[in-house]
Order: sequence, then C-alpha cells, then structure tokens
Amino acid sequence: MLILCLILFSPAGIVVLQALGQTSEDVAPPGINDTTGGMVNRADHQINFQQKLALVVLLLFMASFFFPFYLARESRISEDIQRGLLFLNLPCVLLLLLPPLLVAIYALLKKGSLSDAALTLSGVLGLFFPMMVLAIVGPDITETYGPLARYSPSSGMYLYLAAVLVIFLMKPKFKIHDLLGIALVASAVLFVASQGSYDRLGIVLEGRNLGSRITQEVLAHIRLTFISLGISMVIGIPLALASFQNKRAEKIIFPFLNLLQTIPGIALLGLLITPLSTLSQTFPFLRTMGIKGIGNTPAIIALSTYALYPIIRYSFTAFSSIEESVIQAAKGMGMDSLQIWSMVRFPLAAPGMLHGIRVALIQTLGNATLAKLIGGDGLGVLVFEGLGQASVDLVLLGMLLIIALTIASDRIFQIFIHLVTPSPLRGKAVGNG
Amino acid sequence: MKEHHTHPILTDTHTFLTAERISVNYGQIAALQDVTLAIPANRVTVLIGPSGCGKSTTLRCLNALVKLDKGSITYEDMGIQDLNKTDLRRSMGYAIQSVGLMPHLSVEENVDLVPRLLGWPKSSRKERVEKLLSLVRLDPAIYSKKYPHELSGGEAQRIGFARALGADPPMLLMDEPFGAVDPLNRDQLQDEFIRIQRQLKKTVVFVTHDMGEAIRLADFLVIMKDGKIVQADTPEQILSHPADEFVERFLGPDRSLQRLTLFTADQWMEEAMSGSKEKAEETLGECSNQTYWQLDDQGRPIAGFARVGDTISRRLVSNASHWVQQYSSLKECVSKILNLGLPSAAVVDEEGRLCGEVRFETIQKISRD
Amino acid sequence: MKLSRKSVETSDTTLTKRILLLALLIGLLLAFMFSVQVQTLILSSLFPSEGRYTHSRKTILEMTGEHIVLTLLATSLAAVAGILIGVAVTRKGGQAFQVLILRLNAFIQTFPPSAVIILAYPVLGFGWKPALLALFLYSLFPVLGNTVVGFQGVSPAVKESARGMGMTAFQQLWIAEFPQAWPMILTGIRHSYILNLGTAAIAAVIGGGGLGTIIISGLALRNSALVLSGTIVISLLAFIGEQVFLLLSRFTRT
Repeated sequence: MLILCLILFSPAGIVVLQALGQTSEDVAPPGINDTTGGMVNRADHQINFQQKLALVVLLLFMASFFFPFYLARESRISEDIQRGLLFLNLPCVLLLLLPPLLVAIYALLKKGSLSDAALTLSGVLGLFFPMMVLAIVGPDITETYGPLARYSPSSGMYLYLAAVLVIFLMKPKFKIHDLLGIALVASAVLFVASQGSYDRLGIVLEGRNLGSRITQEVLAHIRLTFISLGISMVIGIPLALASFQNKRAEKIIFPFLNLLQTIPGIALLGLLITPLSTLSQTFPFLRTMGIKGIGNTPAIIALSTYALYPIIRYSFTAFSSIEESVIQAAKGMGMDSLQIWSMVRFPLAAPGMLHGIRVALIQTLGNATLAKLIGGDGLGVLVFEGLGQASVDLVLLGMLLIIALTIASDRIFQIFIHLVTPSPLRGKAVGNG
Repeated sequence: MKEHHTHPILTDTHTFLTAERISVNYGQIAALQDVTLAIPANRVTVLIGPSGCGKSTTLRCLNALVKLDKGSITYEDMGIQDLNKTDLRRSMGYAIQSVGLMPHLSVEENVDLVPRLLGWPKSSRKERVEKLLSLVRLDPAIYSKKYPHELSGGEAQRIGFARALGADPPMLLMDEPFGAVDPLNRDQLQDEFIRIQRQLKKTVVFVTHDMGEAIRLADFLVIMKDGKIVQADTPEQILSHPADEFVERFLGPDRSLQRLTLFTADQWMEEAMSGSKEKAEETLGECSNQTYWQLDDQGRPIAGFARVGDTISRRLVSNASHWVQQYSSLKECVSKILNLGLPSAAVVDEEGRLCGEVRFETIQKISRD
Repeated sequence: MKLSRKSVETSDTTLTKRILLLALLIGLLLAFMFSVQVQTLILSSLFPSEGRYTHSRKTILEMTGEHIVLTLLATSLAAVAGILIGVAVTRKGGQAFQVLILRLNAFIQTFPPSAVIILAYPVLGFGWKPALLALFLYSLFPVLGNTVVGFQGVSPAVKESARGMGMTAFQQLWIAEFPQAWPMILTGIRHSYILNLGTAAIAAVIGGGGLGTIIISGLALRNSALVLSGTIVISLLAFIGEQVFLLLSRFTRT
C-alpha cells in the first residue's frame, strides 16, 4: 500500500506543486469601457486548466485504490468477500496504474497533440484495463473459492470507472481515434469473453440462468415503452396544439401537468390498481381485452401520463417560438390555414416536437423499470427479482441492460431526427434537454 | 508644458502620483506602451483618445485593477505594487459608466459602502451619506431609502459620484461617468461636477471620449493613441498649439468654439442693468453692447431690452434656453445670445435671480487672444 | 425587486393568505399522520372495497419521519455542496471546470431518478446510507446548475464597481454577488427538494425506509388505499414545501 501511495503521489505531487506555483494574476477582464482585446493570457490559463482537471481525475483514481476492487462470493447467497489491490498480482496492478500515469503525463505536457494523445490513451486504457483485470482474475475464482463461486466488481472499480468518465467528459470533442479506441476495446473484451474468462462473473452467471428470458424481457420493455409513447403522442400533441391556440386550455393543462409530475412514479402506478380493477369487474369485456387492474395496463397508463409532460411542453414551446413575422409572410403570400399548418408551422416546430419525444422516450425507458411492481413485464422484472433475492448481480444485469437500451435508443432516435429535420434547421438549439 | 511625449507635467502644483514607463499587454496586443505620466494634485486630469487608445487601461492601472507588465507607479516614494490592493482601492473613489450600484441595497446603503468597509461608526456614516446626497443635490429625505431601479439615469450617475466620494478619498478615478445619459443630463452633470470640484479640489483622473466634455472639465488634458501619449498639456495650450495632425483632427474643426468651453460664465460676467419695464429706454441710452433686463419681484429676469439701430427690441425670457448658470461655459453663453437675439446673456444663480450678464463683445475679445 | 406601494399592500394580504394556507396544510398533515382514524376515514371514503388501510408493521408516523429526514438531509447536503461548488466554479480560478460541470449535469440528467436510486444498490449497497448518497448526488445538480447560472447573471458593472471600490474577494462575493444570485439558488434548492421528496419514495426499495414502504406494500398487496395513504402524505409534504419556499423567497427578497 505504501509503495503504491508513493508511486501515485509523485506524479500527483508534481502537478499540485506546479498548479500552486501559478498564482492567479490580478489581470482583470477588459473593463466595460475598454475595447482593447480580451486575450487575457489565455495560453497561461490553458496550462493551469489542464493541471487542475488532471488533479481532479488523479484524486479520483487515488481514492479508488483505497477501496476493494472486486468481491467474491462462495455461492449466490453467501457473504461478500472484498478483495482490494493487494490481492491482485503485479501485472494487474501495473495495468491499473498506467491510465493515471498517462493523466499525469498529460498534465505536465504543454497543450498540443501529444498531450491530447496522452489523454485519449488514458481514457481508452482506463476502460480496457479494468476489464482485463476482471478477465485475469476470473478463471481462478472457482479454484480459490469453490465450485459455486462468483465474483463482481466492487466500489473501487466503480470509482476507477468514474475517474475514466471524467476523463471522457473533459475531452472537447469525440474524434475518430476515440471511437476507434472504444471499438478496439469492445472487440478485445468480446474476444476475451469468448475464451470464457468472464464465466464466473456474477452478471454473466445470472444471465445464463435467465437464458431466453432476457430477450423476452428486453422485447417486452421495448414494447411497453413504445406503446406508452405512442399513446402519449396521440394525446399529447393535440393537447399541446390546443394550449397553443387557446389560452384557457393552456391554463388548465399546464397546472394539471405540473401537479402530475409531483406524484412519484410508483405512486401513480399503485393508485391505478383499484379503479382499474373495479372498472374491469364492472365491464367484463375489458377483461377479455386484457385490461385489468394489474399487469401491463396500469403500467402503460402511468407511463403514458408521465410521458405527456415533456411531449406537451416541448411541442408547445416549439409552436410558440415560431416568429410571427414568418406566419404573416405566409398569410401575405396567400396560404390558407391548412397550408400554413402543413407547410410552415409543423416543419418549423418539428425539431422541438421531436426533441420532446426524445426526452419522453428516454424518460419512459427508465420509468418502465417500475412496471414489474404491478405485475407488468420489462427489464424491471430482473431488477426487482434481484432486489427480492438480494442478488446484486441480477440487479446490476437488469440496470446495465436498461442503460444500454436507453443509450442505443437515444442514438438511433437522434439519427432519425437528424435525417428527418429539414437541413437548414439542423443543429438549432432546441432549449434545455 | 513643453515636451509632449515623455514627461508631461503640470507645473503650477505638485505631483500626486507618477506613472513611469508603464506597459500593459493583453496577449499579443500592447494596450499601453511605455507611458509616463505625472498626475497633478488637486487638479482634474482628463485622458481622452479614440477607442482602444489605452485611456481606460491607464486609469485602471492606477488602482491596480490592471497589472503592469513593465514600469511602476509611485505615490510619495512608495510603489503602488507594494501596497495592499484592497486598501489602495478603498483610498480612491471609483466611478464607472454603468455606475454599478448594488441593486439589492438602498441608495443610502450604496453610498456608505466604502465607509462601511473602512469601519466607520454608524453615526458618522449616516451623517456622511446625508452630506454627500446634498452635495449632489438629491434630497436625502427622499432619496436615502430609494432603490437603484427607481432612479433615473441622471440620478443614478449622481449617486455613483456620491458613492465615489464616500470616504472622502484624496483621489477620484472616473471612467466615462457621464457617458450613459442623454446630452441634456450630461451638461447638467458636468455643471455639477465643476461646482463640486471647485469646492472639494480633489485630485481627479477622468476618462472620456467626448472632446467637449474633456475641454470643459480638464485642468490637464492627456491625448492618447494606440497605447501612447500624443500630447499632454493644458487645454488652452493644446487648442492653440496642437502637436500634430492627429490631434488637430481629433480636436475637430470648431476649435475656437471649443476654447470657449474653458471659461465659465461667472469668470467673465459683468454688471447688468436691470429694473422695471419703464426704465429700459432711458437706461440703455446709446449703448448697443448691453442688455437691459426687466426683473420680476423675486429678481428673476422676465424680458430683455436692447438697442438695435434706431429701435429698442424686446425679448421675452421664459425658459432655460434664455439664461445661463454661473458654471455654464462661455460657449453656452454664445448659444443663448443667439437664441434671444440680444447682445448679452443673462447669468442667474441657483434661485434664478439675475446676478450679471456676459456680453458678446467680451467673448469676441477672449477669442481673439 | 421592490414593489410600488400599492403592490406592497396586496402582497401583504397574499402573505397572510399564504401563511394561513401553510398552517392549514400542516394541520392536515399532522391530523393524517397522527390519527389512524383520520386515515381510515379518508381512505375508506375513496376506496371502500379495500380491507386494509394501514401498514402491518410501521405507522404512517414512523414512515413519514424517515421520509422527511431522508429528504431534508439529502436536500440540505445537496444545497450546501451545490452552493459551495457553484461558487468555486464561478471564481476566477475555477472557471475552467464550468464546462465539465455542464457536461456532468447533462450526463446525469439522462438517468431518471428511479434508475439512480436502484443503481445505488449494486454500487453502494443496501440501506438508508446508500439511498441518501444516491439522492444527494442526483439532487446536487439542480442546485449546482442554478447557482452557476445565478452567479453568471450578476451584472458586470456591479462586479466591476465592487472590485474597484476595494472590496476583498470575499466581500465581493458576499455583498455584491450573492444577493443577486440568491433567487436562482433558492429555486434550485426548491427543485432539489421536490425531486428528493418523490425519489425518496423509491428509496424504500433499497432499504431506505420512508413512505415508499407503504406504497410498495400497497403494490404488492394490490391495495390502492395503501398506495394513496403514502401518496397523500408525500403530496402534502410537497405542497407544504412549496409554500415554505415561497415564504422564504419573500422574506429574503432583496
């Protein structure tokens, strides 16, 4: 531990000393009346900035080394056995130390392509090496802990990954080599996985147990989300238009929406049980259609309700922010009402509306996790079963799948938006995301 | 008063502080290059020049808001760089164009900020605020509790000025303090400034881009261009002997008219004939270079009589475009003379009572010199 | 902004109305919390078919207590940290981090609150401490974002004159900038409070206690009345919070 600290503190120490040496000059930004250039020693500030940011990242890395990196369990329900750095063999430790070292190098270099390369490399390797460590540790788990043993990442690794996250957030833009690096990492990991190195990893085991259920639930989750989103759009967009046209409608709809947002998700789900049950008892034909007090029905109703807020709000803003002069010009040209709507208003409002739908999509994907609580389907099944069985890995598996689904859907939808938006309007700021 | 470029100095008073060869760079741009300037004590030094000439930068070097890359500023043998910055700034009044009143504090709380920072006891602070508000002609009873957003532009500027005077600093730094108001208000603010400065005799460094304002207010005028001083001297000297073509162009074509702004009405006014209406003709007699002023029972002029050829012409005096204040410039006197079509302009005091007149003939004599 | 005389009078009557409303809400809450009879009364009138109206092991009182403690603790910690970091990031030395904070904010926003809480389980463990940490981290960002925006909105003239008249860095912050930024900061804290109030309901799932307990119980037993019971308290707490914040903003108005 001591040797580790020494190794780590030296690069960090250098960075700190340098950062302190640079006293913040009392160079004021050009005064309000002064029009001489505003280039207030930008070059100097860049170096400071690099070092300050690097310091934060290095601190995170250092912190992560004080926490256990992975944990092992003799069986599914045994106690956790935390394992820190000391239990890793030397190659693993060196691998883990490399990214922080690269960050320190980045801090000490002057800003330029070399320092950017150092940063990119540290980020990519920061993703790669922990996965490699897990792969290296994996095969020995059954030997050390028994035939049923499994292992999972622990808080130390999460902190480490948080540091890597900050590295990626620090980068001004994602360039080709970043994506290339990540693709390489992904393929390397897949290759290693195919060799069976991750076989005793907790989430892998749970996944194997569930088998085809995973695909089932993923599809169910997607189905749930899209049905809710569809309903929400069908109801929401007309309501947004109504609020736009009619002040009174606006005064009713928005406060109601605000009220709805304050009710927590699970509460709304639960409140629907009894009314729906009563309803389906009174009208038996609803039962045959599959509408009951529990199951997917209340889930869809609740999800649609929550999705209404972003859809209505962003659509409303989109329509409201069309400049009146454009409409006047259209009228002046002789367009009738229908034409104004179809040729002017909708196209101009499209980016805003699509943004609202995107926010609703992401939100609903996340909220659909709770559907399980009233007997619905979706990836929430994994999560809550895991919670009920005190299986961390199951919960982790479920959440990872949901996050992956969210990111994938978001990207796909963004591409869709990009293709559908008339090109002059692309890239326009659509307000707060 | 001789060397224009390197050692500008006024000789009728001692130097308050000196800037020696100061340079300031913003990245690659040289905002100030090797500027040397001696600020005279108890006088108004005006820095003027086109945008980007470095006048504001120079000002802000004096209270260490801008760091010097080269050179030094010395006050009584002490380098300013060695002094504690916040103490230095508390010993100078600072007024800027957008005033920068704290919106969440009342006028009273704004004006007594620096005394508060210096730790003055509450009672002396309250006294001071009242005194300052009266000085800028804003009734403390009405204005103390008001908030900045309730003030008009002109009122805000006066409060800014009062705030700069807060702890009675020996030196005032003013960066286009009257720039953000309309011309009428600006003239009034300049009048006020002159009046107050005559009373307090502070050492003032004043930045402006308005030539008329500069000439009117300056005891020591410093013209700058591209980070250097082009000419530094008294306004009369500069107006009569511009250093080069740039200064000439910068002064503008109306130099003689501008020169008139150097003089105030009370410096050149003479006794005026006045009384009731009937006495006009006989008092005037043959002289055509004076006006006979008819006064009301308060002593305020209501009409002027003058001999034009064979007749006596009569003009009604009804509003501010027909008279001047004591601190108004001679240029304004010319303007009122032309407004009324009389040979002289009436000079009134604060109550509006006639205290003298300025004759066109006198103005012509001054211009000839 | 200060008001003209006429609106000052109106605002005083609004003030009284508001205080009365607050008192009413608190009264309702206390009545509901402390008296099982009141609970049964209200719930049975809406859901007559249900058999059970109370949780088998905990009282509403206990759950509300846990819930309030969790919410208030998370909100206060988020407020303090958010303001401190927000101030640091708007100082000369910290400007560099603003971009990072902005991106972090956008990144965190993509997760719904429920996801953050549930993720706390694998990463941090079971119990109220992980729940608190998750709530704190998530609600940090509204406060932080608003603090930064608040300080960015201070007029440069005010900052310049404060500096020029000789205020120390701390005095500039406290006398000149903070009062200007405060309305925005308070709004951010309010958002955090409402966010935490709702999200704490899910904290029960990872062992955080609170009103989520009765709501989850209601879901498991298919009993809407139990769910409503918890929801009523949460909604009341939300309304009370809103009124308190409105009053706060009125009294700290500059």
